[in-house]
Amino acid sequence: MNSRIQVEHTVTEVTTGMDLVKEQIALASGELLSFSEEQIWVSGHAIECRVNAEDAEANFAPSTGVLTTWLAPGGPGIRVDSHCFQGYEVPPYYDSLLAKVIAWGRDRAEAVARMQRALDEFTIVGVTTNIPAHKKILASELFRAGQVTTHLIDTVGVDALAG
Amino acid sequence: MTSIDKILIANRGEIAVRVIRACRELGIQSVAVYSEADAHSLPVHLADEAICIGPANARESYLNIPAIISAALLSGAQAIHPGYGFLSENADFSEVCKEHGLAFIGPPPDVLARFHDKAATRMAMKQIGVPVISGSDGPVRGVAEALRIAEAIGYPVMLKAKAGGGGRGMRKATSPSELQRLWPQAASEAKASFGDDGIYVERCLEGVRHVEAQIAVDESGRGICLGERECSTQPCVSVIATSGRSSSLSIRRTGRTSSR
Repeated sequence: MNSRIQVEHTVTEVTTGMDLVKEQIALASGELLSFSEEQIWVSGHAIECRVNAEDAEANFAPSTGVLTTWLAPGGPGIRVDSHCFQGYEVPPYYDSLLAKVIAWGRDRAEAVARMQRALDEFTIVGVTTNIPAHKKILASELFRAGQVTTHLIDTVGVDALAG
Repeated sequence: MTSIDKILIANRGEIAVRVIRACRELGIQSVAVYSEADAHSLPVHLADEAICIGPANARESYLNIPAIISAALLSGAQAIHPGYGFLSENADFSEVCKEHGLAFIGPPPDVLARFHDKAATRMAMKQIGVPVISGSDGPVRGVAEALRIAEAIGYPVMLKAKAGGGGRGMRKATSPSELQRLWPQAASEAKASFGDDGIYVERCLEGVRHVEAQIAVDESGRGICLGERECSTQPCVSVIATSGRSSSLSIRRTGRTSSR
C-alpha cells in the first residue's frame, strides 16, 4: 500500500489519458471526482522503465558524476519524465533515478518494441546506467512471452544482466 | 473548498518537475524547495519561485519539516505536494500542514497513520472483507509465536517490519531453523531503519505476479480504481518494467469499499 502518488502513475496516465497529478490537486481543493470508473477508458498497453545511475557490474552501486552527454529518446508513443540535462551533475546524496521512460503501444508487442527502440536511442555519458539491464529483460524469451513473475530476474540472472 | 493558486513542492528530481508541469498547465504558481546540492537543478529552473531549505543531507532539507513549512508560509502557498518518498507518507507532516492551514496534497493524517502500520493495515483490510495473504493478526510477540503461526500457514514465510518499506526489515524463512536464525536480524534491522521492531508473519508467495492498482478517493468518500499495473520485475535490483494491463489478471471487485 502506497498512500501517495506512485512512481509508476505515468503508466496509468498514458493508458487512460488522465493527468493524475491534476486530479490530486483537484481533490485537495475539495472538488469531487469528476468521473466514474465506467468512464475510464483504458487504451492500449504501456511499459515504464526506471533509468537509474547505477553500476550493474558493481552490484548496482550508485554511480554519480556530470552528464557530459544526455540525449533522451522521443518519437511516437514515448514519454520521458526526468530532471536531467546535459551538464547536470548527479549528486551522491539522493536516489539514483535519472529518468522514467514510458512506452505506449496499441498492444504489448508494440509497447515493447517502442521501449526497445527508445532505450537504443537513449545516450547517457558520464554515469553508468541500468539501460543494458533493461534491454536484456525486454529481449528475454520469458518477458516477451508475458511469462513475468517476481522470479523473472532470478531466472534471467542478475549476472547475465550485468554482462 | 480550498482555493489553490500556489503550490509548494516538497521534493526534488523528476517528481518535482512532474508536479511543476501540472501546476503550470493549471495556471497555478509553483514553489520549488531545494537543498544546497540541488541549487542548479531543473525544478529550481522551472518553478516560479525557489527557496533553499538546507544542506545536502536530506534530514536537514527535504525531511526538515520546520524549514518546509516556513518556506510555504513565506511564499504564500496554500498547499504542499509531497511527491513520493521523503515526507509523502508522513502523518506528522500532514498534521503540521493542517495546523498551519496548508492543504497537504494526499491522504489526511489519520489515513497516513493507519497505513504506516502494515500489521494494522492488514487487520483493517480483513475487517472490511478484503482478502489478504494468510499470516499473523497484528505483530508477533516473539519467535515462539512466529514459529507457531508459520507452522499453521506453511513455509516459506515472510517476516516483515510493521513500520517497514523498501524491503528493509524483511526476511524470507523456508524452515523453522531459518526462521529462528533470521528473526533477530529482521527485528534489529526494523528497529534501526524505522525505530520500531514490530514484526508480523505472512505466507510467502513464490512465482507470482506483482500487480498494483491505483485508487483515488474524494472528500465525500467516493473512490475509483484506475486500472492495474504489472510490476513483477520490480523487487529486484531496481530494474523495473511495468505495464498498463497485466497479461494474466482481471481484478474482481468486491463490490464493497472502505468507508474512507
